[in-house]
Amino acid sequence: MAKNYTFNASINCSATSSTGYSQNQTGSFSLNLTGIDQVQTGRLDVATGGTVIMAAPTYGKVVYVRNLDDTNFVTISMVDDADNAIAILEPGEWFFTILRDTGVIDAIADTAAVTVEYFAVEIDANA
Amino acid sequence: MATMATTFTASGSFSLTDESGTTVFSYSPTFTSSQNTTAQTLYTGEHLAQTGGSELALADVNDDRVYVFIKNVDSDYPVEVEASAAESSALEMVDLKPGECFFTPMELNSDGTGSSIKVTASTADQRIQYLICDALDN
Repeated sequence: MAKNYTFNASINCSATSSTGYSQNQTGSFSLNLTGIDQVQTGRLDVATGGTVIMAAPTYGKVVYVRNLDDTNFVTISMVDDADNAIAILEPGEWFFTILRDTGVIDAIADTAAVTVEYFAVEIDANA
Repeated sequence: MATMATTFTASGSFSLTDESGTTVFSYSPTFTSSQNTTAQTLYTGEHLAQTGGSELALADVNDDRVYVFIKNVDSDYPVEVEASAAESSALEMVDLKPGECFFTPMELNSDGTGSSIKVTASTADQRIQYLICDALDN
């Protein structure tokens, strides 16, 4: 099984006021990953009681989640605690982060179960 | 009384390729928010994240939810980002090495008191660039 990977990320954000004022920020980078054991991706139903997106990695992880639900938001948090929220995703919204720690990433639906699109990839000590 | 109305668009491209050149996954998400007619601010700029922690100036931000993009534009050390009023454990929302960036719709007020973002550089002060815009409440 493949153990070595290249991860590429590119993000473009823009905010615009009704006055016409607008600002934009972009970024992109790559990570060379060696000896990786956890690569998870796909779609997942997230329960109101919380669903694990990624179990504890050895060194860290890159994580992306997109809320595919039409109505309800979902909270992405660490250590199964919504008060430690990384993201609160309304329908259609997504987030991306890099965490160099061994914490578990959870998703917690608010009103009813929601489906999310996601990836969670372990990164090595040098990434 | 005047009001401020903002919209926010976030687009991304993410892919993972294995050592034999096979694409494991590729995602290109995008969304544009509904117009937020209760917005209070749209911030962008460059900030020197300090080793003891420093806060992005968000005095007038709506603290329920904000769109946050941050990029480490320095060349030496990682920068951690957290909601300044998050709980005492597992604070960190991202750990950015030089050149890396992240985006999230985040809550600044997880413990009911906060309204700012804390950035902490390791070893020596590091420059970051950011874009922060009020989001509609969840």
